[in-house]
Order: sequence, then C-alpha cells, then structure tokens
Amino acid sequence: MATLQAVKLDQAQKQSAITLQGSAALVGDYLYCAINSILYMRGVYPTEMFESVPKYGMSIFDAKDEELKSYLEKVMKWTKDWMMEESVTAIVLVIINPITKDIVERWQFKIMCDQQHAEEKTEKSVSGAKPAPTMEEIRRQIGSVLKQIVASVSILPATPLDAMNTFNILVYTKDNLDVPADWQESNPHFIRNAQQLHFRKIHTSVHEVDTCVTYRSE
Amino acid sequence: MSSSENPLPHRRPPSNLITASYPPLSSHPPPRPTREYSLPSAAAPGSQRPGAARPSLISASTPLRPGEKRRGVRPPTVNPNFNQPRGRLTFNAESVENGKGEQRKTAQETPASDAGLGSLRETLRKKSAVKSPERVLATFRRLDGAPIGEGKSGDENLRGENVDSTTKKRRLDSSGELSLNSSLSPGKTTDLIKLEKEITRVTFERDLLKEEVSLERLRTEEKLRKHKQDEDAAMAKAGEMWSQAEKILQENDRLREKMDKAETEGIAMRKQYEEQIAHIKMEHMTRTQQLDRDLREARSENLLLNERFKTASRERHVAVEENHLLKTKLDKLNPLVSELREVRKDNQNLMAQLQAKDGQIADLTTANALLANLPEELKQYRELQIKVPLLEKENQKLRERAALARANEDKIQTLEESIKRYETRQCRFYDLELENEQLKAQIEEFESADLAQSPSKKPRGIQHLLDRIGEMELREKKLGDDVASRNQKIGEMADRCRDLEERIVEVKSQLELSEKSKQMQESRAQDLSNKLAAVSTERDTFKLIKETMDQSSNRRCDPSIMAKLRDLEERATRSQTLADNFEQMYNRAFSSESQFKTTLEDLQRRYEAETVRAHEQLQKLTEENEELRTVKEELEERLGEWTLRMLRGEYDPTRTEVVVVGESPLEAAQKEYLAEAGKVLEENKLLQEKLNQVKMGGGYSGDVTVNAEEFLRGPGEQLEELKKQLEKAEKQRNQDTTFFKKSIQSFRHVCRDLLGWNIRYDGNKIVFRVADAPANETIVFEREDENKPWELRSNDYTTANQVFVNEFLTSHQSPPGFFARIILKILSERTLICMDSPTP
Repeated sequence: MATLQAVKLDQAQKQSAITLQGSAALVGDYLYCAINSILYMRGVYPTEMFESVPKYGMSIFDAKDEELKSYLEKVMKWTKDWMMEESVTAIVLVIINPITKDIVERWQFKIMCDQQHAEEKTEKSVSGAKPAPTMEEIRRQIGSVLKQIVASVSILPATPLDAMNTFNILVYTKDNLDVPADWQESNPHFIRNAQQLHFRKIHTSVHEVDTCVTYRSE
Repeated sequence: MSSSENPLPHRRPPSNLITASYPPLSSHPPPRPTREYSLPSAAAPGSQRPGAARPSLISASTPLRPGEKRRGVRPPTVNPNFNQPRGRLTFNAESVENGKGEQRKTAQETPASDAGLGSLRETLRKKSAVKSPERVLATFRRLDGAPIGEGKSGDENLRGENVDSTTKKRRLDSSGELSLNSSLSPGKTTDLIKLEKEITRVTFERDLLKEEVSLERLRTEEKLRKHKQDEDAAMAKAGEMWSQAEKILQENDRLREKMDKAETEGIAMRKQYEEQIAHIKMEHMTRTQQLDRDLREARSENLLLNERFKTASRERHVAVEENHLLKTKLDKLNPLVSELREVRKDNQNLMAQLQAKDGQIADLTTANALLANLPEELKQYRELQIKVPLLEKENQKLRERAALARANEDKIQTLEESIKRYETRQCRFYDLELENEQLKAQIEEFESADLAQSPSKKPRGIQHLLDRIGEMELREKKLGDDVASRNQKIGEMADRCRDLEERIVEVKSQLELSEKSKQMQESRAQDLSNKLAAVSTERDTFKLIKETMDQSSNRRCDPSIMAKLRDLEERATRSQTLADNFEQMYNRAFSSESQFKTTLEDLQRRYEAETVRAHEQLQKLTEENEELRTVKEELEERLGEWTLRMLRGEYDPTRTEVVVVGESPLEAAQKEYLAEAGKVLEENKLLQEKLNQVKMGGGYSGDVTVNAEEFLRGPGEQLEELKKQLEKAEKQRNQDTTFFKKSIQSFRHVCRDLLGWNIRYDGNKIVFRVADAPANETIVFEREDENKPWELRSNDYTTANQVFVNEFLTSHQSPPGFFARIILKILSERTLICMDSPTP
C-alpha cells in the first residue's frame, strides 16, 4: 500500500511540475502584463489606449491600440522563444524622452533559467524535499509583484504632465544568438546617479524573475 | 506697364469686390462711370454689372432675326462717350478675359468692321447729325444745293471701306456728273432723263449697296454678337477674376497675418533653438566632462582591479605559505601525538601502580589491625585507623587522578581526531594549491592572450579578471566557511585548553594535597620510626628485663612470669616482623610516590608545552581569521558593487548582447520629432528669407498697399505670369508623366525579360502573367486599401497551382517563393529540367 501511495504521489508531483515551455509562457505573460501596467501607470501612453482586464486577482490595464499591441506581442513572442532556448538573461523596459533622449526610468526583469537545477528540484521534491511551486502559487507571486509595481508609482518620482515620453524594450541575449533581421543591437541605456527599487522575485521551478526599477535620483 | 504709359484708364474693380478692409483703394480718385467702358451686351443682360449704363449701340447693332428685313436704316443713336477710342472698349472686355495678348489679337482680327464703324462714327461726330438714307435719297433727288462732299449717304458712310472700288468709282463719277449737271441747267430734259436714268441706276446701285450693307450689317452684327458673347464671357471671367483677386487679396491678408505670426513664431523659435543649441552645447560639454570623468574612473577602476588582482595573487601566495606553515605545524604535531600516546601509556602504568598501592594500603591496614593487638600499638593502631580514612581520601584522590588520566586519554583521542581533521584540511589545502597553480597557469595564459590581442579588440582580460574575481568570491566563500569551521575548532580548542588549565590547576592542587599527605605520611613514618625506636628500646629494655628476669627466674624460676615473658617475646617478635613489613611497605610507597611525582611533573611540563603551543596556534589562527575576515569584507564590498552594477543593467559584452526591435516606439517618436523639427526649420528658413527680403526691400511683400499697387498696375500681368507658371507646370507635368510612363514601360520590360512576368498594376490590383503564357493564366493579387495586405484572387490558374499556394503563400507567406516556384515549374515544363519538389 505504501509503495502504491508513494507512486501515486510521485505521479501527482510530476504532473504538477512545470515544464520549460510552461514556465516560459508564464514568465512571458507576466512580462506582458507588467510592461502594460508600467506603460499605463507611468503615463507613457494616454489612458484611452488601455482597457481594464481582470487577471491575477486584480485589474490589469491591457493595451487597446493595435500598433502598440502588435509591437508588444512581437517582442514577447521572440522573448518566449528565446527563453525556451535559455538565451535571454534580462528584459529591460526603458522610458525615454525622445526629444532630450534622457532616460527617465529603467525597469529590469532579470531572468535566470536553470533547467538542470529545476530537474534536481523536482527530483528532490519527489524524494520528499520542499515541493516545486504550483501554478496557483506562481500566479499568486506574479499578482503580488504586479501589485508592488502598481504601488511603486507612489515612490517613484512623478513624471511631468507635459512630458512626451516614449519607451523601448531591450532584450539581453547570449552573444551567439541569431536574431531576426528586424532586430538590431542597442546600447544598454544606463542611468547615471540612479537609485534602485527592488521587487519580489518570482520563482517558477524553471525560471526566476528578479524585477527592479532604476530611476534617476533627484 | 505703368499707368502713365497705358493710355487706357484703369478699370475699377466691381464695387462688390472691394471691401472696407482695403482703405488704400478707397483713397484713389473716384472711378469713371462704368458705362464708359462697357460694351453692349444684348445676349446676356443678366451678366451686366449693376450700375453700368445700357450701351446705346445695342439698338444700332441689334441683330436681325432670320427672315426679317430692315426696312430702313435707322439713324444710329450716338453714344455720348462714343468719342472714346475702340481700343478702350476692347480692353475692358478682352483684357479681363484673355489678357493683353487677346486684346491685341481681337483688335487685329476686326480691323475692317471696327475701322469702318470708327470712320462712320468719326464722320457722324464731325457732322453732329446723321442723315438717314431716305434723306440722302432726298438729297439725291433734289440734286441741288447740297455739297458734293457732304452728299454721302449714311449708308455709304456705313459701307466704309467695305464698299468695293467699282462702286467708289461710280460714286465719284456720279458726283462728278452731279456737279457737272448742276452747272448745266439749260438742257434740263435730257439731263433730267439722264439724271433719272442715273438716279435709277444709282437707286439700283443703292439697293444693291443697301443689300450689301444689310449683309455687312448682318455680318457685323454677327461679329458684334460674337464679340458680345465673348465680352459677356470675358465679363463673367472678369467677375471671376475679380472674385479671385479678392480672394487673392484676402489670401494675401491671411498670408500677411500668417507671416506676422510666423515671424513672431520664427523669432521665438529661433530664440528657442538658440537656447536649445546653447543647452545642447552645455550638455555636450557636461557630457564630455562626464565622459572624461567616467574614463578616469574607469582607468582608476582598472588600476584598482589590477591592484586587487595583485593583492589577490599575494593573498594566494600568503595562503600557500600558510598551507606550508600548517603542514609544518602538522609535522610538529605528529611527535606531540606520539608523546601523548606515551603519556597515555604512562598513565596506564600509573593506574596499575595506583591499584598496586591500593593493595598495599589494604595490606597496611591489615598490618595496622594486627598491630592494634598490642596495647601500645593499639593506640598506634587506633591512630592508624584514624589515618586510614585520610589514606582512603588520598586513595580517592588518586582514583580521581586516575579518572583525570582517563579524561586525558579522551582528550588525547579528541586531539587525534582534530589531527585527522587537520590532515583532511591539509588535503584540501593541497587541492587548493593545485587549483592555485592551475589558476596561475590560466592567468598567465589569459595575460599572454590579452597581450597578444590588439587594442581594438574587446578587453577580455578585464572580463577574465572579473571572472576570476567571481571565482575568488566563490573561493572566498569557501574560505569563509573554512574560517568559520576553523574558528569553531579554535573555540573548541580554547575551551579544551581552558579545561586543561583547570584540570592542571586541579592536578596542582591534588599535587599539593598529595605533598601534604606525603609530609603527613613522612611525619607519621617518623613517628612510627620513633615509636619503633621506642618500641625497640622498650624491647631492649624488655629483653634486658627478660634477661634479668630470666636470670632472676633462673634464679627464682617462676613459671607464670616465664609464660608472660614468652608471650611478651612472641609479641615482640610479631611486632618486629610487622614493623619490618610496615617499613618495607613504606619504602615501597615512598618510591612509588616519588615516581608518581616525577610522572606528574612530566605531565605538567607537557601540558604547559601543549598549552603554549595551543596558544600560539590560537593566535595564528585568530590572525588568519582576521585576515580572512578582511579579505571577506573586501570581497563582500566588491560583490555588493557588482550586484549594484548588475542591477543597474551592466553586462558582459563578450557574453551577452542587447537587442531591440528596429521599429520601436522610440524610433517612431524620434523620426516624428525629426520630421517636425525639419518642418519647423524649413519654415524658419522661409521666414528668415522673407524677413531678409523685407529688410532688404524696406517693405513687406505681403503688405496690402504693395498688393494694391501691384493690383492697380494691372491684373493682366499677374494673370500672364500665372498663365506662364501654369503652362510651365503643365509642361513639367506632361514631361514627368511621359518620363514616368517610359520608366514604367522599361520596368515592365525588365520584369518580363529578367523575371519572366508581365506585371499589370491597377490601383489596388496587380495582375501577373508569365511571359508568352495564355491570357487566362493570370495571378491576381488584390487589396482593399494601402493598409491592408495583398490577397490572392482564386481563378483556374491558381486552383491548378493550389499546392504552391498552400506551400508558399498559406504556410510560409512568401509570395516571392510562390512566383519563383511557378517560374521553375514552367521552366521544367518547357526545358524538361526535373525539379525535386512535387508538382501539382
């Protein structure tokens, strides 16, 4: 009986374990929601260009504008593909003034992927150590980080109303990665004399996303 | 053409065209009545301007209806302003419509009619009265009085130059005859007949002439009608032109206002640009300064990193030396371990001795018990009995010492374990040394590689240094862990040392106690020896007494006394033997005690030496620990800096790459901004040019007065200029269209010759057909508008090539591939070249 129960438990744990593909999809969804929220909260685009969507136990603002949506989807699609190849190390959302080219804020999503580590973890979890996080737990983590991002608006310096800011998404990839022709190399857009604000980490069993915002100290 | 040169007065624009916003025009002299310049217009009376007088020539030039005959020549009504030249009349109508060229042209086209009319009007003006044809006939009929020169009828006058030369001759002849006949009065009858004949002839001629005149009139009326129509059209066009002129004036005003605004904006923009340029320069300066600072910082960081690397290498060397020291320490500790083993063996021996002593003590107690039989010895025995618990205590202490010795054995075991650990550590240190050597070799290789690299290449050396720093950090962590374990061990050792010290103190106290007990035992032994001496003296005395008694008994031979004496002698012998035994035991105990003392002293010395060594080790380890702590702190600081940099987004350019989508919102915004800036700059340039023109010319071209002056100069020039511009533009357009058509044709030829496709483009529809293919084999792409994608329209040909459609268009979305595949298919069909891919 005991062996049967153990086998059933192992099977259940293996079924609940997240694959690389599932983890990449979750992280991609988180990045999409986070970028949309940031663009809305930081006033990069007018509020009319967003619509409220219930997700992760809160209302998230999703882009309505087709052009913006297609751009974000394009970036996210490639990012997910590269995450599957474990070639992405970070995604950076840079808010820039296009006239003065001043970098206002730099939202960094550091992505750490360790497939072997994840496999070891799953083995450990199967063997009785700390179990891998379930989908609900990961969703809860993502929701909490998104709430932190929304709450960080009160801490970050206020953007002036007449500021015509725009944004760009940088993808930190491995050097030997073949990128499509419409992608090009970019500078990392550092902020001098910057201050950091760290958010919670998101742990799937495969990926770990470390979110951080860097802004110019007044 | 200035107003002074132009003989014609300038035409005032229609009253409804001039508004109150143009005060310069109102200041001009009042215009002449429009009827002065208006031509008769019977065709379109509605198009006549209000206020213009109906031309009086209408009645004279009213065309006859078809079939209607003019019964008599009505005397032409004279226009009061008819003395104006004809050119003026044509100017108003034609200059407005067609410009000056047209005016001249019309003036040239109607020389006969206009000249005839002009001459007729001149004669009428001179005569101030026009004779009707009936009156002329009457004058002919009267045949008297009237002057020959003035006998011209109105019809003749009206005929003008259109009358042919024969009629002129006849007229002259008749006039000559008339003059002759007037002078010949006698032959009236013949003359009258002649005259009548002549009159009939003249009347015939007159009728002919009338008919001719009427025909001519009809012609002229038709011409006039045409002129009128032209004039009306010209008037309408003139009205339009006036409205256009008004619009132009309004546009001018608007443009002037715009210019003013643009000037102000341009000045403001210029200021802004100047400020921006200054700001950009300042920023550039600050950025250059900042870059210099950054460069300096980077250089200093590089130097610091080099120094740190050097310090790290030194630290490694120090670690290697420490390893050596630890090895030597371990080498030194090995004999200590052997010594400890010996000490353990000694302890074991001591334990055996102690057990033997215990046995001896037991024997002594039995001896004491035996001695207690003696009354005197009983006291001693009692005293010994009293001393027995003391001895027992001593025994207990000795047992405790034995326990201590056992504890020492345990300590020795723990020390052995620690030695084993040290050995394992030594193994680790050996491994670390090996790693150090490997790392050194790697560093040398990297340094050589860095030296070999050109300065243009990426600075891999620094990166490798950073990697090594990372590795060093990892090692530092390991070392930190080792240090922590060592600290723990040092603490344990210190605790053990303290325990040992405490135990040494206890052993010392035990030694003191044992010395005291020894002294006591010595004193007791002295007492016992004294007692023995006393007993021996007593024995001697008893012997003497016995001898004396024997002597006396021998003398007296008392048996009771003899028995008593024998008992006493036996007792004495027994006590003697006991005393001898006791003495032997005492000697043995003394010797064992002395041995124990020596062993204790040795142990004490060894413990002292060990404690000194342990203290030294402790000091060294604490120093090592402090050094490692400092190294750890430095590495922690570096790690903190590194994590901060990582958070700020720094990355390894040799391993990672930052990529962005080309068509990003930032790119779009920057393009938009640049376009706007370009527009603004262009506007600014234009405004600057206009401003310069204004400054150079001393006036503003958009000024209303200047516009009014230009307008007064004549709209014809502007119209001519506009026409010329229009013609030029049309010519240019035609040239462009022909060039474009030619280029399209050549492009299509190129596409057909090189790509094999006939391309027909029709708005949002493109039709492709393979060259030399039937007309029905076409591929049609359509789209709803420019923003929508091209879509393939299905036909027989596409359904025949459905495989290619699915393969290239549906799955891969590659129209070029689709077209290429079709060409390949046709090529294979025509040339029998086999293609690998399947054909539909």
